[in-house]
Amino acid sequence: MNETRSGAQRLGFMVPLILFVLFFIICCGVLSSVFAKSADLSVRAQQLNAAVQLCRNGAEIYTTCGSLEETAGTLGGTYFDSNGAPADRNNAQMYLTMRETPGENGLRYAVLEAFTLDGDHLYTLIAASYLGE
Amino acid sequence: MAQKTSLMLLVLYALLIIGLMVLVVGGAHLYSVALDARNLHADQRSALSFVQTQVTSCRGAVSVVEKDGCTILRLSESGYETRIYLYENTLRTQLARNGASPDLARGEVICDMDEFTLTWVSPRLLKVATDFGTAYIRCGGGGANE
Repeated sequence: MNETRSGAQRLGFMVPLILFVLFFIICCGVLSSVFAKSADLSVRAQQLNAAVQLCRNGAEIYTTCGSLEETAGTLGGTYFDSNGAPADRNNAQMYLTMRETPGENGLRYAVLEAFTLDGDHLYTLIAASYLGE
Repeated sequence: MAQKTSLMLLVLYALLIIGLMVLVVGGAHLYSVALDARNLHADQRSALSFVQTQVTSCRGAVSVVEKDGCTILRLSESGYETRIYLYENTLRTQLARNGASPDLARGEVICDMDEFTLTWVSPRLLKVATDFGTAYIRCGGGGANE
């Protein structure tokens, strides 16, 4: 009888404790995932910042020279690190695609798009250049 | 038996406290990194955008001048000129009469900076290299070194 009461007491003591530990572990998991998400967002913000600057630089160069090849050459390639500096393909964090579309009245448009290496879209900028009729 | 339970509880509480401390330290570190990155991005955006906007909006002559070992970007417009330069590790700007002798110390501070290099890639394209990154700026009216 005493043993049964002692077992019930221990169970009554252990169940809230186990629930508390379980709750604590769940909270830790949620907080850890929030931290991981915030670190990821920080990296994405840095990439977006670099992508905006890269596209803007590309647009400025394109509107000056009117050639995509020259634009890529002046930028130092199409692969860049997370700070927007030219990098080789293995160390790159993002890449820039550029394509031209003809417009009317002597205008030509360049569409500059920045992507992460995973193919996630970061930023798009359309630059217009007047090349004469 | 009671001693064993007490020891188990002690270990459990120690684990919980260590877990909490790891979370708090990790969170604080992450917050500090995120804050530093945000400040860096803000400086980067403001510095490069400021120079780009000033040059793009300038309808007069754009020139790069060397004065007392300091590189000055000079944007002249109808009697006045805006000067942008690096002085004592700060990017500064100054509005003055055309041709007036520059008093570099009196410029308005934009942000802290260690590098500010200006290069003409072509007669109408200016390259601005800073420690925050590089910006290319089209100068519609062209520009040159003086």
